[in-house]
Amino acid sequence: MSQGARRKLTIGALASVGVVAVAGTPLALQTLASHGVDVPVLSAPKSLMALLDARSPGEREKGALTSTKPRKLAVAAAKPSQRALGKIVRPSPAPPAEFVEALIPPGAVAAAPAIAPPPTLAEVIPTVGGIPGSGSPPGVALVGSPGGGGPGAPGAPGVPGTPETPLNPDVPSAVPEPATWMMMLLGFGVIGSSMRRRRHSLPGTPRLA
Amino acid sequence: MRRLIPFLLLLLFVAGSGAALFVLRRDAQPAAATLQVQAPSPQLGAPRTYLADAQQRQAQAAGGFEQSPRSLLRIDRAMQYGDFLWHEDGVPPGPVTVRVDLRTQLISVFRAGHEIGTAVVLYGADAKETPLGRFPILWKGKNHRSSLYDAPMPYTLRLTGDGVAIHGSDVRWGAATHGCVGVPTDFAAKLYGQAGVGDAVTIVRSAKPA
Repeated sequence: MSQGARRKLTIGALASVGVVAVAGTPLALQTLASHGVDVPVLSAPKSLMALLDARSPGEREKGALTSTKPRKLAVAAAKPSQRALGKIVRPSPAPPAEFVEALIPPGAVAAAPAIAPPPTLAEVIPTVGGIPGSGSPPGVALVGSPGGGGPGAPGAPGVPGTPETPLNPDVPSAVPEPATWMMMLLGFGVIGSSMRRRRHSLPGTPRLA
Repeated sequence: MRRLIPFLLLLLFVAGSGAALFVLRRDAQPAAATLQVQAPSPQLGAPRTYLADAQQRQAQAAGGFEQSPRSLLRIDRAMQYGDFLWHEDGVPPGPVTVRVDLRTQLISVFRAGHEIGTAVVLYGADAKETPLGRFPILWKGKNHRSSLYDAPMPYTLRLTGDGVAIHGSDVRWGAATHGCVGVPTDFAAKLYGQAGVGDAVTIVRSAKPA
């Protein structure tokens, strides 16, 4: 290898070492500082006033003592406040097996009559339409209706032992939702404005100047 | 083969620095401990922050420090109303000075340049402002009762002839004084034990840090 090539190699090696040293120094310093070694470059002393300010409870603003706004007072006092969270209703777990066995002995369960399945739509509709004296209009036949409610015939009795209709899970709340309130108020407004408009537009109505 | 030399050197450097870091990392804890022992002044009882020269110059610039402060008590959080800290273990005897800063609502008691106590204070309401300045303590009264306001003022250190004093108070948010400096009563008792007639109390309203 020639002299020039060797020099090039040496320069390249030195340059690469220099680059690594320069790039690695901040990393090494950071590592040292993070391990508790005091690196004077990084841990410049904090300002004295900053030290004193850090322990201060804060300034008392002009007029803070005469302010009667409770929200401001609460914020300034920095008291923890309670938040009312929505109630979480979890589905109740199945009762323990011992309770079930104590209340209902296994033999009794076998002797109890089987609960009839909930009626289908086809079974329910004839009982509604089966009022005596009323019949389905001619030509109208309910699909799957088993001949109930013929003309003049007494209504088919309800299926005995039918359990109660299960409660609709979407029972409307007793308290109207805000949207409902808004809708009602809007309706009142519309009624009022239409009445006012009608009164103004009626012929012969004296208009107030 | 010769072309590989720079890469080998690089590898050697990386491996060497890695090994050095590993060794330093293992020795990090003992090194920190020895650094703490080599504090610029003898180790005192309470955890404190020793001030560098630059910070002492800042103190002179800020004003209100009768003597150049050498160390502060280390408090890592903001104090609340009624909080105070008192640590005088290991602090040598010396002149006692008190600095009250109305902006930060803090009092600092120094002995021989070391802070031995600090508390959150109450100060005068907007209509009855606390005077600023340097006030030597005029009179001490342990169970003083104000004749002006007919109120108990335990551990009173009177500062002015018209009645401004440092005394024990119920320090809570929303309260203020008629010009006095109110400190927690337990703190006032300790301060009463330290400060004597003639010791300087400086009341300042420091500038807001930028």
